[in-house]
Amino acid sequence: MSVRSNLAVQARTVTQSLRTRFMFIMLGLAVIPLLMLPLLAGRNASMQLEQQSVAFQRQVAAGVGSEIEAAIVGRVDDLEQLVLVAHLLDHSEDEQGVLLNSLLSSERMFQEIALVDADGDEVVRVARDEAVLPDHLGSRSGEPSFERARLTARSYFGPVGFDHEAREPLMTVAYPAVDVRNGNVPAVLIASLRFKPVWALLGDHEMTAHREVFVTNAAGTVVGHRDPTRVLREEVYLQSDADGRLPGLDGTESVVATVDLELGDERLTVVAEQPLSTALEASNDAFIVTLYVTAFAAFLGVAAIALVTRQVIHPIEQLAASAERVAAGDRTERVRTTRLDEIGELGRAFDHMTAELQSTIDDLEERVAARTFELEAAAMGQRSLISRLEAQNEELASVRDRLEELVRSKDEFLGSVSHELRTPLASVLGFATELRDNYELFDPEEREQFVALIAEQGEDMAHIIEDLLVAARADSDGLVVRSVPTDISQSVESVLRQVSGVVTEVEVEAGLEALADPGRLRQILRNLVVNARRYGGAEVSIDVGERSGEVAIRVRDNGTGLPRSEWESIFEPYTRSHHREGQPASVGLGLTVSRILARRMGGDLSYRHEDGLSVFELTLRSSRVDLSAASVSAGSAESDTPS
Amino acid sequence: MAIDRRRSLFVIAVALVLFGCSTATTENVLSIGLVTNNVNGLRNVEGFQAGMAELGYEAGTDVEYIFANEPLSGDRLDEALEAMVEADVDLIFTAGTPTGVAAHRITRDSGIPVVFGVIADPIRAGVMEDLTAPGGNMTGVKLGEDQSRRLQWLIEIDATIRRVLVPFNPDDTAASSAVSQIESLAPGLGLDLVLAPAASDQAVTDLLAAFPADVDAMFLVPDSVVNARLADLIRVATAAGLPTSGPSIAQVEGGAVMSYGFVHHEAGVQAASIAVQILNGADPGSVPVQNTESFLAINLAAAQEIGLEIPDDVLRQADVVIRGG
Repeated sequence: MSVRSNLAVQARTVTQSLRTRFMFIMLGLAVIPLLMLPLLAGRNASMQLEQQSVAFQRQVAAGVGSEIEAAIVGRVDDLEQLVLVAHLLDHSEDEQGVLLNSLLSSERMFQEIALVDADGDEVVRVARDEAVLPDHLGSRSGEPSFERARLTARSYFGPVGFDHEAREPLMTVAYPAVDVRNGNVPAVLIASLRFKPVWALLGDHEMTAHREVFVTNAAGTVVGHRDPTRVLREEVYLQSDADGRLPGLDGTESVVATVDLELGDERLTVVAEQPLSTALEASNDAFIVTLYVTAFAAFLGVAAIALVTRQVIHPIEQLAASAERVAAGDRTERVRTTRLDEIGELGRAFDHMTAELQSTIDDLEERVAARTFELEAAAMGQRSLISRLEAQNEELASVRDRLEELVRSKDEFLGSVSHELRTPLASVLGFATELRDNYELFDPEEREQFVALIAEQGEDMAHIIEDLLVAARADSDGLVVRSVPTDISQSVESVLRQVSGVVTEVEVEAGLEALADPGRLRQILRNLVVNARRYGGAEVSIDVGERSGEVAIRVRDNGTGLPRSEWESIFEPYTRSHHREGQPASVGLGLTVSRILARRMGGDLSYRHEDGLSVFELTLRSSRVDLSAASVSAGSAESDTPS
Repeated sequence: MAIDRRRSLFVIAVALVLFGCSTATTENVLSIGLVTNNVNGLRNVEGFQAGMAELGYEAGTDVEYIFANEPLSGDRLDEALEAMVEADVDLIFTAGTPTGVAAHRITRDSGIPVVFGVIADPIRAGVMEDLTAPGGNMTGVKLGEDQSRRLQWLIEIDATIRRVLVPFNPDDTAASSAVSQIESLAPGLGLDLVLAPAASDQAVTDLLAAFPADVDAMFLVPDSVVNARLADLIRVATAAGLPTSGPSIAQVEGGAVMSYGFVHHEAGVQAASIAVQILNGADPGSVPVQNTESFLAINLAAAQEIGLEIPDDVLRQADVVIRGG
């Protein structure tokens, strides 16, 4: 998955998280409005404070203006009083001087007062800082103060200018002494007013509230300022049409208010300004305090939101984790909450559900185990059945194989039997036919040989048939075998007489008896000797011995012997261990019948090859041990053993 | 652990709020050096401190003063000024022309503003060349050129005065300046000035010993040498029945009949307003020198002692009237 896809998935996970949404909702509902509050309130308060500040500045400007106006106009009134009340024009020059001096002394705003006649000539002049002598008097003709006052018959207020001798700004005012009868102006009082008191007045306002109050003339030139240098520099303040947030005298954003003073034709403007930061200081301070408090409250709010969120979400996460663990198999998992709220109820419900689930699963497991046990038992039975069936199948297969083997052996047996019988029968028929047909041609000796051969072949056929009958009766339990004391030596001698020329050595204890069926015994010995003659070596010996209650009759030959793997199989019916070339094929029943007969007689027949000799050992029970046990084997038929 | 963390966070938050809510600001306490070379200058200093306080600079809270609490002169004066420069004070106030001259010499390269209150004639004293735009680091209050007006007041008090004795130290620029203000004016007022140079204390002694008998009044000018012998001069003049005019109220308090000139205390107050302008950022070189306010002071007791009747109109115009008893 690409990095972008991963980020997208993570982003979706975060945004869809209940924790995230919960916090956003809480922040949106609580904290954000809380943060908005100081901004809105602060802005509103700032605007109100600004308006209030403008109003206050206007009030200050008006107050200062009034004071300035009062000061200036008051001085003109003083001049008026001199004329109207003190009747200045009616006094002598000396007295006028005294009057003017009195006014000068009493009102420190006057720097100089001059009484000028209708022609503009100074009649009397007094000054604060110099002695004015008669020859110091001059003419004011042409000066605006005189001319305007005289012509208009109204008080004149001149511009403010810095007087270098007085070292301070002065303002020229003039009062026309109007003759009320004719309207003429016989004299004008021209005074230089000190603007320095105005500086002091302006400075007082500045000192108290970081407020700047200054006075400008109609051209905007600063004529009154607490800082005289600004007046001397003739700074210009461009006034706005409206009061409010405006640049101050030094360009700082300020709250500015102006009040115009109309002094005759002279217009002065009182400007009151306060730096915006100072004007809104209270608001700013309040805003900052509000901001800090709000930030603190927001911090507490966020902390509370985080805490509440954690208290709500964390248990849910724990619950989810517990559910995961339960799903993973830990049914002992429990939330074990002690909370009394809804989260606690959820936790307890979860624990109850988990307990019930555990109980149900345990019960199911028991039932499953029981059922499994049953199924397993059944399965075991089935498996046992299957095993038995398999065993049976194997047995059947074995039987089938055996049947097949038997069929094959039967076929072989029939083939062998037919072959075995055909040969002697052919001999018998041949010899008999020859005797019949050519009896006269043979001499008596030849006739006896022919008869002997016919008899011998007939005996062989009889033996073969006898073996077949024994084998058949043994399978059907119709074989009767006696176990009577039998002289072994006699039996051996009988067999030797039947099968002569085979055994080269015989060692038999005379009178040794064993429990046997004499006929069957001779049948067994005959088979063994015939086998030795057919398949064994040239030297065949018979020895009989007795040991531990048994009589052992051993037929040995020095033939090649059989491999150990065939020592038992040679006793299987229709089994032929080897077929010597030139020897007639056997049926394969001789040893089988011999063992059957031996065991019916209570003994056994075995083969071994030792010391270079094949040894067939017939063991019988010694009659000395059980002479009374003259037993007869099971079966209904008499023995057909020829004697 | 969780509880401790929450508690710590709470404490930190409260501290932040309290810190943020704090509007306390650290105010800078100004350092101002005060120095004078004469006893009357102590009044100037007192007036300066009063004026500063009136303008919002309380001693100990807003401003710390470095002051020897006594007049200094010569090497001690220089040492005091040098120490102020070393201490890099915010401003120096001087009272008296010699003090101002010394301050100019010692501080002109320091950048420390100096406000004088008073130097009789700063230009003649050599501390500046332009009273309107002084330049440099000094400005302040000078004596107004009101000597002629004072002389005029003298004859308004006593219209019989024709010859006026003017003892003065010709080496004192203030004295010389004052003399020059009245020299040309006196004839216009119908007065003869009897100038009596006294460049030393001995010269004053000699003058006292040979006090002119043909003078009608004594006119004292701003002069540290002469005014140092005020008591003797007053005594002799009073004995001679002569009204004495002094350059300041100090002389009136010392027995002179009248004065029209500055009041030491008021001069200090006036200088304080200039100092505040400078402390608020004004360039002392751009602040014009101001003239002292002139006040009419009458000593009725002294007048009565010499049998002088002060006209009522003059008395009404007096700013200060000292009545004996």
